[in-house]
Amino acid sequence: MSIRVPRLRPGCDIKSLPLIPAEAFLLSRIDGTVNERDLALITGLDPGALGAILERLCGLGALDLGDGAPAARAPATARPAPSPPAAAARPAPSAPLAEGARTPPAPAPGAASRHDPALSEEGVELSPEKRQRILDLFHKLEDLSHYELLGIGEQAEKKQIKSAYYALAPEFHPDTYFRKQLGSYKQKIEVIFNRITLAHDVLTSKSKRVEYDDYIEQSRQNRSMAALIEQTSSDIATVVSALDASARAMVGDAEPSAPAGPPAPDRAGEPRAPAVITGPGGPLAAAGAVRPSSPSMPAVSLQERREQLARKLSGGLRRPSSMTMQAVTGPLPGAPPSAPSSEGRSPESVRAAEVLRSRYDAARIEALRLQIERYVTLGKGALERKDYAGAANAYRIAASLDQADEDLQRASAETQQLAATVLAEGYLKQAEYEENHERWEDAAISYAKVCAGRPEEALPHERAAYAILKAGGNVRKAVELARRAVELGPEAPEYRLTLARAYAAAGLAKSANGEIARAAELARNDARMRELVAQVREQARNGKLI
Amino acid sequence: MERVIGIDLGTTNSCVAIVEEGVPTVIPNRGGYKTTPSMVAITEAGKRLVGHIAKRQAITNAENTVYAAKRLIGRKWSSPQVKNAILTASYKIVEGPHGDVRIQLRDKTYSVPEISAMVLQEMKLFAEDYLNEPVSKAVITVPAYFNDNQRQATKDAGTIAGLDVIRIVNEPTAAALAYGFGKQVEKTIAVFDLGGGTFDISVLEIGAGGVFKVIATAGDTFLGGEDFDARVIDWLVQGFKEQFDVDLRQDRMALQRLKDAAEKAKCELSGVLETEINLPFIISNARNEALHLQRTLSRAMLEQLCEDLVERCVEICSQTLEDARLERDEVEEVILVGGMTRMPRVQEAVRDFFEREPCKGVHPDEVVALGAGVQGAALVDETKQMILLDVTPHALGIMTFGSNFEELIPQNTTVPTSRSKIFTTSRDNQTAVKILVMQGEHQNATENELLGEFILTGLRRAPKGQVEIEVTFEINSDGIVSVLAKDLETGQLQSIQVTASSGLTKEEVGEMMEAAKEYLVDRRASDQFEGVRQEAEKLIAEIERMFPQVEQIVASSDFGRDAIGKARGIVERSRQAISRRDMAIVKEHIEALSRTHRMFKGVVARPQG
Repeated sequence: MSIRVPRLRPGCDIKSLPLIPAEAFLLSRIDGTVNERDLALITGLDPGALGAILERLCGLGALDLGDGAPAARAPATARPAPSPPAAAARPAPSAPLAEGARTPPAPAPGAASRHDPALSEEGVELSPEKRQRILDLFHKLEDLSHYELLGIGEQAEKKQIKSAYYALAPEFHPDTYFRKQLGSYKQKIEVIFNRITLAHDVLTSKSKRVEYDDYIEQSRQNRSMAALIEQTSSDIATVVSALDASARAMVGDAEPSAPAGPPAPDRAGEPRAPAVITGPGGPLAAAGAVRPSSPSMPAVSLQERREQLARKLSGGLRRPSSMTMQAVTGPLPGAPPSAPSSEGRSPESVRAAEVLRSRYDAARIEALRLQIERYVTLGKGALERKDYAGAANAYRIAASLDQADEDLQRASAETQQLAATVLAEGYLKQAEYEENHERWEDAAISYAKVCAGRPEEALPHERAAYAILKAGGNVRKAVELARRAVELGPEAPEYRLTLARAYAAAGLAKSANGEIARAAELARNDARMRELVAQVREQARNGKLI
Repeated sequence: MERVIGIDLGTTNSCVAIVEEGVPTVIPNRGGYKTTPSMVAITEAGKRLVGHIAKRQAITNAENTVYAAKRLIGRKWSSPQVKNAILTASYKIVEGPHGDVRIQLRDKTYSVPEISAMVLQEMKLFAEDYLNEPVSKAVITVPAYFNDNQRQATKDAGTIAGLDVIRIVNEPTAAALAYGFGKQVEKTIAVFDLGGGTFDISVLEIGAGGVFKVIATAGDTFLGGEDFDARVIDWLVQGFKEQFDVDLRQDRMALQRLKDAAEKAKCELSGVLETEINLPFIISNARNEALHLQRTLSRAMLEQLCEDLVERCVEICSQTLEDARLERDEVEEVILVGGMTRMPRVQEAVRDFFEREPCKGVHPDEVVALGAGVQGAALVDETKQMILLDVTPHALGIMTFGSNFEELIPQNTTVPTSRSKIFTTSRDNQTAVKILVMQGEHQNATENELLGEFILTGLRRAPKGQVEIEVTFEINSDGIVSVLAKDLETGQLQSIQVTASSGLTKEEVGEMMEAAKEYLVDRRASDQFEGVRQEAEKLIAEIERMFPQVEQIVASSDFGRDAIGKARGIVERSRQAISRRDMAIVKEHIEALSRTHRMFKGVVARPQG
């Protein structure tokens, strides 16, 4: 199955287009390598809605909807500079999603025909429209949630679920095509029918639906949290430039060359993070970028650590007092009015410039102090609300504004670690559901993300390796993860068995046997485990396990 | 578009229906009855009798009259149900060449599908008579709880009868289709189907747009009216033994009379509180004295005799609701199907269990055939907005090492469906695996029904557990199970379509079909001859009636005497031709007979004087 890879059209002036925030947001995620499916994942947009936006952007001349090999990276200039308010891009939980799903052919009128030979299959007794419909749905099946597939909102009641199913099921029940030539469509129709029925069965069973809803909610939260955390870097730049502008505003009109009327820090500098994540979704960006700042994780429980940190932070972080200009990070985009060279100038004008300069500096320091204070407050507030991503963001921004303040740096590191841990916990739940439903590919990704947040825990590494092997993924990655698991938990025979499997899959029979031998040694007192070891040993003997 | 008939092939009675101009209609048989006994007999002269006529002669020809063949269809000779049937049936059950069941009638043995085919052929003929056109496509119903072997055997019976069985439908489901057909209802219903031989309970949802979704189904293929009869027979036999010290079971003819009387009494007790069973001269004792059976059976006694059977039905209902994850009050309608639901105690049990009055709107004997007709019409007619989402009534899986049953598709899964699982070899250097496809709910595989088996060969020699085989089960909407086994290492594939074994090979089915066709040709010829014979005999009778009168009138003339002589000759020759069954000659003579008849009438009518 080939998936479209949208590319920005070079030379297109995006600012001149009549875009809505969601479209701009999507544009900002397109780099010519990410395909449509991953875009849906990254943005959290419903694939139907995503397809519709892509089509529209293509129509406006902003995009090319290519398929096949990814093109060279599009020029970075084409990126719209400020991220639009991300919250707008997130579809509200139910209605728009349902709308998107209700018009499944949206993303690809004619698109599938380009790459699906089945459409032109001869002797098939189906109308072209029907074929198109079947192909569209078939190709999107993996990406649709049960709700989207049935075209219902997530709050839908049992009755609505049932009537949606009853409306859809006849269309894909083989009896509708009784004794007709269906060619390759036959199997597709049955696959679709099975999936619709699964959606119905899951959503109409109380317990299964709760489990599934938790899973959806969890993965959505994970995505948005990961996105938020990632977004901080661009937030810092925004804050700094706003700071700058406010300093200029404070200096007043003394420097006419400075751009007039920049937004006040209150507005421009308002950190997006805490404001945004009050909703369930949040902006959805590439997940998995969470890197804990300190790799060591104490062995206390997550709960305990959370509480500790919260106590520490609310106990009063030392007010940032000693602020220096040097503390401000990075090259400042809207650089302060540069001190004019004294040469060839009157002493008066030089003095005037110095006065101006010092006034500017003072204003900037004051603005900076206010900002840091503001972010620390926000961070505390977020922490109290258990909004760990928001807290991490706020502290990270605050810390970046004064790198000399050690307490602030520590607080920032700790909140970020906490956020990463919470996120890892979320991914773990997601991964467990995926594993239970044998969605190995998804489980592999989720477990890898758990590892990122819990680098010192053996189990997620082992599970990630196992899921990769089950999914038939990158064997080297599996070996790496399994090795780490064994490193972290050298006494567990099951970790060694997974490593053995990974070695065997990689064709490293000797190493596999070594691990099996060690596993056998460790499993001496556990009958069940001994049996498992024996089984894996048998299987590994020829270096082929998976 | 060719019409599709729906046939309810019941244990005791069968019924055929069709959708006519959008209205499901039961087709009456030649006697004008809407249902036909599922009975087949071979007379001493070797003539085949089916239906009412077979039932009427059953007492005098008990050993060569088959009833309740449905209880044997698709079963193995070794099964306990067959062993039990051998003890109670008045006909002779013998072992077939494939461990299947055959029935001995006179000097010939018949497979069970052949016997059922005789009934189906009869139903097909009724439909053709009624529609005045040939019929070849049919939907046949089976108890929901039938396993695949029983379904396949039923399908084979259809094939033998010359029918293209386009779908096998579950009886309770068919009843629901008939109930919901053309109504704009959205309801959760339960179908309680207690027939002659089997009990089924199905819970369905009827959704908008003509969607019928089965949620759960269960039953017992050996629980039905026959079992209620058996209780009455036991009671009669027991009482007779106490009274006369004679075992009525020793005499097949007595047994047949008992059976009829028991059934009759049971039916009567649905309307009255007490009935008398009177069977004079039922048997002789050792001193060759004739003995009479005479007893009074009350409704209360009958209910007492059968209480555990009713309880068993209720138990299954309760289990099914649990499987459907429904509370009793979520069932919005209960439909009663099958003749046994006329029994007041059964109705009461249903009412008590579901806490609601069962629906009175459907005919318990006809609704299943009507539903089959509805499904047939919906399948071939694209404009019919009706879709049936049925479930697999039994779990499907394979037998693994140590006779364990490894389930792949659970019970009550909506079909079509497919599932896979990975298995490994169980012995060192195993180069072939035998995949035993089983159906049932038992943990122990041997307790389940073997549907088919195949062998995946060419596996790499390796220690046990090393070679991995992925087994995929698929059930399509025809209920056909396909199993695919794949050696994950070599990618080698092996698949079968589990044509569940009805106990007959394809060739045998083909041969039987040919034989049935021949029979049909003979049967048609004899039907035609019957028509001609009746016509000729009617004329002969009338001519003979007028002879004396005509003779009196015309005897005076030579011409008259000559005419009378000729008439006698024609009558005589016609009689001979009839006895020779020479249709061509009889047909020829009919013309002459008609002329004579007309002439005689003219003579008689002419005013004398």
